[in-house]
Amino acid sequence: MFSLLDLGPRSRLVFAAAWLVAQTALVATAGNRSDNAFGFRMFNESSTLNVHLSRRVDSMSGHGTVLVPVVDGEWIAKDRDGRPHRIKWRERVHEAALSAFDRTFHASYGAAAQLARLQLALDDVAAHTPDDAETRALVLEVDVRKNGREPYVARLESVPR
Amino acid sequence: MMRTVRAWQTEVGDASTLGVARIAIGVCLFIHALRAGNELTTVGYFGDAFHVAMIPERFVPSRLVYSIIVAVELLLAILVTIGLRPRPALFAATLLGGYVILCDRVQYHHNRYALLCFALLLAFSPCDRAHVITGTPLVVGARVGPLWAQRLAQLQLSIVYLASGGSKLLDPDWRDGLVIGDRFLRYGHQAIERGVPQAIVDFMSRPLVTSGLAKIAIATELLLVIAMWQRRTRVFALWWGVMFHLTIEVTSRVEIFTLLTLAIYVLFATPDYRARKFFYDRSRPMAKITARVVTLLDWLSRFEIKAWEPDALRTGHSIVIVRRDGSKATGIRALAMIARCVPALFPLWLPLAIVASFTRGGDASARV
Repeated sequence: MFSLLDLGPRSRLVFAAAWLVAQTALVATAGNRSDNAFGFRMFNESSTLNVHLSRRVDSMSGHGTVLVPVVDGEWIAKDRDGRPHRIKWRERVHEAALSAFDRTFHASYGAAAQLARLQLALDDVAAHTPDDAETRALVLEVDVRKNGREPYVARLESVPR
Repeated sequence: MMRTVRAWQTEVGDASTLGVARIAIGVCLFIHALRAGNELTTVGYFGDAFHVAMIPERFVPSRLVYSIIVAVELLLAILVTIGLRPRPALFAATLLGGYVILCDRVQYHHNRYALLCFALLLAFSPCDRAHVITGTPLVVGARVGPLWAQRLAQLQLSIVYLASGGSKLLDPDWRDGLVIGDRFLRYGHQAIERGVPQAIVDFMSRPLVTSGLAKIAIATELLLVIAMWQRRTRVFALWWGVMFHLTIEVTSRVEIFTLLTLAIYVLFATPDYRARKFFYDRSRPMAKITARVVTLLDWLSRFEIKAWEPDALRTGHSIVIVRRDGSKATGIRALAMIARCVPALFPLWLPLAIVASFTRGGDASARV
């Protein structure tokens, strides 16, 4: 192990060149990644999000679907056998910043990063709630306020179930 | 250019500051592993829930394997900190940490990635030559080693500042103060609750002021890229950087980033083992306390600390510092010298130095 870590002069040059090229590439391309990962873009934004979760379910009229608001990330849905189950978003999504509903919170890596992660979390929860045979899709309406500007609403919908 | 590269490839020098940086990075690794262990026991295993793997899902570890990884990370962090085979431990800790980030991008944070970068670079440095539990004697020969990886770690810090400051410079919202202004607007009430006068918060929230603060923050990061490498500007750059990071630490949640950055700052310090002398009057309690404090905090081993028996010449001074050039300092100038050389007291250096510059006494070459 020590010999691996004790590089000779030529290996030092190769290592340093590879390191600097990699770092430069990662920093230069950070903007292409929603979370700017590996780019050291500290405190890149001061944005807030307020996330509202809804379920798309079949309309009682039998035509189309309607959105049913979900309170605090928990809802009751029936499985295929008609038995009710309490579904909890937080049982699937542990990350606090991805499971805060109906309250304004800081998007520490920026609004785009948070929205991208929320979309992934939305799809993940939709795919991992087998006890819910009612929900056709999960929907997030997100009030986004970027750097103190006028807020706008971003709408995210999971893959159909 | 080629001459510079060759000099860097073959540079050999005192590696004692690497030992201090290694200990701090070991502590950072330990804190990081402890947090992972705590999350594992309280929140649960990330692989059982929503996660974003950057590698094929089949390579994501099971709960048992992940638990073992966290335990090994804790052990490696301890080895790094105490200096028992620290270089292989740093290398292994980097591999495991990088693997975990690849398994779950949700756990990615800039400070954690930066920690892995610096840990890997230190693994290639002679960071095992000082401050190790095996008690390698701090003789000159034992402390000397190749410094190419240390220089690369220093360069990596410049890359971090360049990337952070550069991205802010290119962002109109950051440049114009919108980002800082919004933070003041949203968190200003917290400052008021902690006793900051409303008028100050209102003043700081003005667009003109936030625009100015944004430009200072950007300029700070970009100037640090250069100024820390210049001998003439280094000490001020390091002080300014320390204050910059301490301000961030008290106003934001940045996990271990402050400790990590300050650990890398140590690498910019000139390693000059016991090059200064600290004499103190053992008959004076304050002098004894000062000597004890300096002994405890002189992590870079910059002072040779000795008591003297008061005699006719030395009467009147509790402490006397003999600088590298042989000149002597007492009083506030001595305190400024101590603050300049002792990492934990470094934030006090500039205020003390400014006060000392207004005093008439203090240079005691003729008196001691």
